[in-house]
Amino acid sequence: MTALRDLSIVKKLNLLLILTSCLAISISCVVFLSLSFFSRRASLVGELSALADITGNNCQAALAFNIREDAEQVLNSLSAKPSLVAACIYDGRGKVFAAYGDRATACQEGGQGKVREGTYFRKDYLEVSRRISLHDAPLGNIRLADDMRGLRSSLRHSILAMSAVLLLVLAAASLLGYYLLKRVLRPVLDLTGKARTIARDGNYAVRAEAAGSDEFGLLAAAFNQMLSKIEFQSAELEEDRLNLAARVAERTKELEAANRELDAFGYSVSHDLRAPLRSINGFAGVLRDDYSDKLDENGRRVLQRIAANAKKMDQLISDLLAFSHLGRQELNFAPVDMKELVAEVFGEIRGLFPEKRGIELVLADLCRVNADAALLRQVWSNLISNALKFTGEKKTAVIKIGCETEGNEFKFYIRDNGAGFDMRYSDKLFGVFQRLHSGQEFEGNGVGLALVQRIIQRHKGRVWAEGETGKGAVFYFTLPKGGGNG
Amino acid sequence: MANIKAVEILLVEDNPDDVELTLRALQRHKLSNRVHVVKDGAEALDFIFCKGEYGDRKECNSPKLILLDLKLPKVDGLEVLRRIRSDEKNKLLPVTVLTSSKEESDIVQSYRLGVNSYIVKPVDFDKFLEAVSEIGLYWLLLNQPPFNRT
Amino acid sequence: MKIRGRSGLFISACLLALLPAAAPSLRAAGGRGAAPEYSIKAAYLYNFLQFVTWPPAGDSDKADLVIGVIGRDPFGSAFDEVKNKKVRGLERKLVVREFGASAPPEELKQCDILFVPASERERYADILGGLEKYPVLTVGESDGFLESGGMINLLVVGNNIRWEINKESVDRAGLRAASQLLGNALRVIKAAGAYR
Repeated sequence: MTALRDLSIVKKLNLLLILTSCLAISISCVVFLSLSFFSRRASLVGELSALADITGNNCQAALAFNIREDAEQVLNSLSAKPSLVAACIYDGRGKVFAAYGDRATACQEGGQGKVREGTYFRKDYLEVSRRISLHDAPLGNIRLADDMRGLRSSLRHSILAMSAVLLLVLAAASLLGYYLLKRVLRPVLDLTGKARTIARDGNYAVRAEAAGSDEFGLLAAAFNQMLSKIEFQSAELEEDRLNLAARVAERTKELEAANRELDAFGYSVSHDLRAPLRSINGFAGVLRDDYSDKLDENGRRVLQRIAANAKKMDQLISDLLAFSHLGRQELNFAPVDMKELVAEVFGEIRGLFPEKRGIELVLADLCRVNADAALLRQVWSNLISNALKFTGEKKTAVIKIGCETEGNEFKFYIRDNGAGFDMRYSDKLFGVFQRLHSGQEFEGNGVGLALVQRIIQRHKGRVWAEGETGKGAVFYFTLPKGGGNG
Repeated sequence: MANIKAVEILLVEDNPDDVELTLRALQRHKLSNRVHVVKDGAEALDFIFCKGEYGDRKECNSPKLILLDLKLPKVDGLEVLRRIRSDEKNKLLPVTVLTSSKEESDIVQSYRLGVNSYIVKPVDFDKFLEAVSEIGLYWLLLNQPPFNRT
Repeated sequence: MKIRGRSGLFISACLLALLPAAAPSLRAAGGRGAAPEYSIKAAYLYNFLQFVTWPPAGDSDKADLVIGVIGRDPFGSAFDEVKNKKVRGLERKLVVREFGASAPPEELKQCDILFVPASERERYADILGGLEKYPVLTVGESDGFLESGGMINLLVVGNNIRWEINKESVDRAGLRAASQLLGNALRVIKAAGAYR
């Protein structure tokens, strides 16, 4: 059915035309042929009946006087009609009296001695039975069987002729139809062609040709109107787009300039802020090493404070730099073996807490992800060092790290049995410089988690934490399955 | 000032505090008397090429090691490095950049220019001491200099 | 003309027994006292009534149809079957009359058919002479009947009964014999002489 639907409209209509013509002609032919056939048949019947009557009458004497030879002679004269295959004369009792031609055809015995008068259409021939009577007194019956060859052949001829006509009409209709339809449908075809061109090239300046004021013409006019509108709108859109592009370019330049300034700032910070720090720390160290014997306990303590603070400031500067750098950095996505990474980082950080004895790490199989390995390293670094830091007071630090798949995300967690935190302030955890513990309780400058959050956000994931004061904390972060392209 | 003849380490550093701390560190290993200090890039070049106020060095001997800071007045550390490396006589001089800059661009550029090593000055004093000592010991005692020295 | 080779009149009578009711008198050879030959001949006479046309005569529509037998009647009850049959579709009763051998023509002329048995052979000329002009169909059954002016002569040919016609006599009597009668006759005598 789809094949039919996809035919060109010219072909379709042509087909329709041909079909209807064929139908009309076929019906007419059939009707005509039938009428003709039946009328011919009727006349044949009449003919045959008349012949039967005549022949029968000629056999009256033969029947009355029982002169078979005479009857047979009469019947033989029927050879003048070649289509007559058989003839039979029955006597009054229904028995065969005389026969001509193929006995089997015409001379069946009538049942109970009676031969029915009438016309019968047998399979291959027409049978006419008539009564023979003499002055109304029945003498017998005559039956003629005709093979209707004339009728058949004329029917054959008619059918052939009709078929020829049909074919002719078909051919003529197709040709004519095709040609005429093409002309009539030209506007539509033109429109189709133009529409296709426009769809393909996007050239809205194309117009369909004007096509009178019939439905096709209206269609073409409407089409052209639409195109004008589209052309205009498209031009406007293009203009807007260009404007937007220009503005975006401008903004980008501004941003890039800002970023460059930031870079310079960072550089300056990294370099110039550190130098005095180094001096502070350095000279404090000198005092400590070379002049400690000249200092009392308090003095030494003060010195230690100076050194510690300098160190702290250095760390702060590093973290701040890392934090700001992160925003501009491009992520390098690659498959990361998390378990390996975590084990590595843990090993490193573990080394920073040599005095701690009881550390138990439960590392489950971690999901493989697509992410920036270096940044993830920082994430784990911060999270693990936090965990170790905050379990400082516990005899045995138990740290569990694992991964779950939820929907189209991987959810990683790190659980510790450390000091925990008050959930009421959980939203402050990830703010820059936000701390929920004083520096006396645990060291740290509050940038670590902000960094973690930044990194995870760049990966299009989320971070959050749960904890209970004194009962430990668990930190979660998610990474999208596909490897978010941030 | 040490005997110019016996200069084994040229310290190019503009920050006097850093100079003192560095010398102290070297002092731990009795290396401080073999150090000559210049306070900017121009002076460094003069010393190496025996120009300017160092023009009268009888023998323009090359030190065993140059400790080079990057942020220098007059002539920048990288420029000094470039000049050293483009001089036929001195291009083989071992140069260690000792700077507070951790910037990737500085590191890469230094190596591009042929620096032998790049050390970032730690803020922690103990670590600083350690680093400088190691540098000194390594380059002066362990490493074979390209030039035969007495 | 074919003559079927059947053995015996008996069989031909049986054949005739198969003929339709048009010749009812030909049924059952064992009819009451009738020799088969004469049953057939009776039927033939009846048939002749069907195949011959008499000139219209004023009162003849009402009168009976008469078959006359002159002299010794050989038919017996052969006519019984036929008597109640219609002739030519007319509602006219069929009667059979016997006449003495010496019946005059005035008497004889009331017949439509007059059958002259073979026994009257000698007297053909006498009988027929007077009847010439009358519309009486004379039927005989021996040679010379036609030559004597008779109209139809019945012959026994093999196992069949056939006839010969003297058309001249028929015409002279104002009668008309159907062409089929003439066609099936063994011999037709016309004015120009016998042919066939």
